[in-house]
Amino acid sequence: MSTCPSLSRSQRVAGSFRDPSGYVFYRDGRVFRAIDEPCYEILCNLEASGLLARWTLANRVVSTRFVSERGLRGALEEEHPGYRRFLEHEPISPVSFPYEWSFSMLADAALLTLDLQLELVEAGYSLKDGTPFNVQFRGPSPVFIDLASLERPRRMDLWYALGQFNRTFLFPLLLHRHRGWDLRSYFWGNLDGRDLDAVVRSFGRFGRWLPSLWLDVTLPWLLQRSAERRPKRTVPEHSRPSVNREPVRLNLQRLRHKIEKLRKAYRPAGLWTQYTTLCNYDDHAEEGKKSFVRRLLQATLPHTVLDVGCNTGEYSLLAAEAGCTVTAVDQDPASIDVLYRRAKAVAAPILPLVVDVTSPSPAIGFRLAERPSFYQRAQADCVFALALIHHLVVSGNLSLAAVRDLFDDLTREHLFLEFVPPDDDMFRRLTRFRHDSFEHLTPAACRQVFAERFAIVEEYPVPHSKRILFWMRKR
Amino acid sequence: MNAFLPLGYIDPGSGTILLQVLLAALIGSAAFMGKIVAFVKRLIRPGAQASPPSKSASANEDSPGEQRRAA
Repeated sequence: MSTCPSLSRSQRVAGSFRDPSGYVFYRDGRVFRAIDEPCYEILCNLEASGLLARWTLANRVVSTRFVSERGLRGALEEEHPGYRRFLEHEPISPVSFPYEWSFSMLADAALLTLDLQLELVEAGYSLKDGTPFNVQFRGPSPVFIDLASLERPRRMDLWYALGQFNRTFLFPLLLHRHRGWDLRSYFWGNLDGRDLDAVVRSFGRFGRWLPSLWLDVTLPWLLQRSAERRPKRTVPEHSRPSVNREPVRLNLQRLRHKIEKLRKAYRPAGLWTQYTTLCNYDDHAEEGKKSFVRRLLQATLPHTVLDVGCNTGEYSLLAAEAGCTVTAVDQDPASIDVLYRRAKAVAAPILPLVVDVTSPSPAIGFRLAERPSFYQRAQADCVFALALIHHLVVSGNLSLAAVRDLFDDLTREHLFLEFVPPDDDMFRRLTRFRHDSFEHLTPAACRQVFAERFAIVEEYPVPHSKRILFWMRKR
Repeated sequence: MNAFLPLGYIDPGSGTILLQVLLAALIGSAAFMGKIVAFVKRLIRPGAQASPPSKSASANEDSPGEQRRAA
């Protein structure tokens, strides 16, 4: 799903099946969406009002056009019986999911969703869903992708997707901020977020009465409990048409303010965010390593780079400066949040993701096909594995052969690998309390193991250090 | 039979819908009360307007709004 496969006929996206008003499919490497008539009418109205063009220009919604060519439309109608209207979207690659985002990324996706909903409410429409799975990141910018998720609701004073918005945006932000929850465990447990009971229990007997939780957690929980105990009670005149937009508008603005406050108050901190200052490089070594990587990038000209174990993204930024589109992954959410902010500040084409390559995001959801695994989406022309190998071997308990196979899976062509020997200061720090010996990890062993899948093009001993940088090309 | 329905047999978004209904009712009644207060004020002071005209509108008598009314 990361890249659109080159197909001669339509291939439906496995994760696009819940909304009855349409679905997404790939065709000849392009991304299309089949939509029903009500959805088409809403989109036509939004286009006529100029809202759609404004959102697209502001990069808030994925670039989209109505398919109008007679030949193509005819072919699509034949391949998708029951549908007469089709959209074409700009492809986004790689696709990412909220369990791979950092706190600020989820907060920005939430703000985008609220902003769109606020504008839709003013125009008399509403989002059918309030889920981060309808948002993708193009570099460090969130973009809304699900244009079929629009409706003209019967009651304008309610947003029916607010419960889902809270479960998938607000609750994970609150739990991460106040209880240290990891977004991976939050979403992997349930892709549609945790219910009110679970959230209230997580805040504890006293925590649940915090004033900041009252309106969004505690009061809805009490009301829901009361409704559960009285099965015959329903919302009075639940479907009565109402045009009063004020309650929804005020509530959305309040939520927006709350999430903005959460985002501003969040300070990513942790050992790994300090890594570059803790590292044993002197300026000479650092500069030598950077100029070598810069030279390799000029020599190989990769279109896409996957920076594995990117930390706060020094080398991702360097690759972005060289014109590459970068996916930067690290297992530390705080480091990824720092990199996200850095990339956003300079509008660098870097997508930072929280991924532990030794235990990456699995294929998950309905029939294990709804959300593909990280490996299915992550391949790049060039992989950076800088100051990483000792973590994989020591903390990940991987053999050199396993490390080689991992990078063989991830790269299409090049691998820039930094070899860290066991007598390196950082390696020693990592193995202080380990009894096992890593003396077999020599540059010669590395060359021999990697040579089975890669050709070593060039080696660069990092000055004032025992480390070696390898440029390898996949066989 | 309903007495045996277990707790949790409810859509997870129900609490949020109920809260929104509550908020809509509160905001709706506040707006309604505001209208009653404005109506009573007009009864007490028949010359008083619901909202005073802004300075810029009164300063520029040829504003588009005025022109439309005149037309």
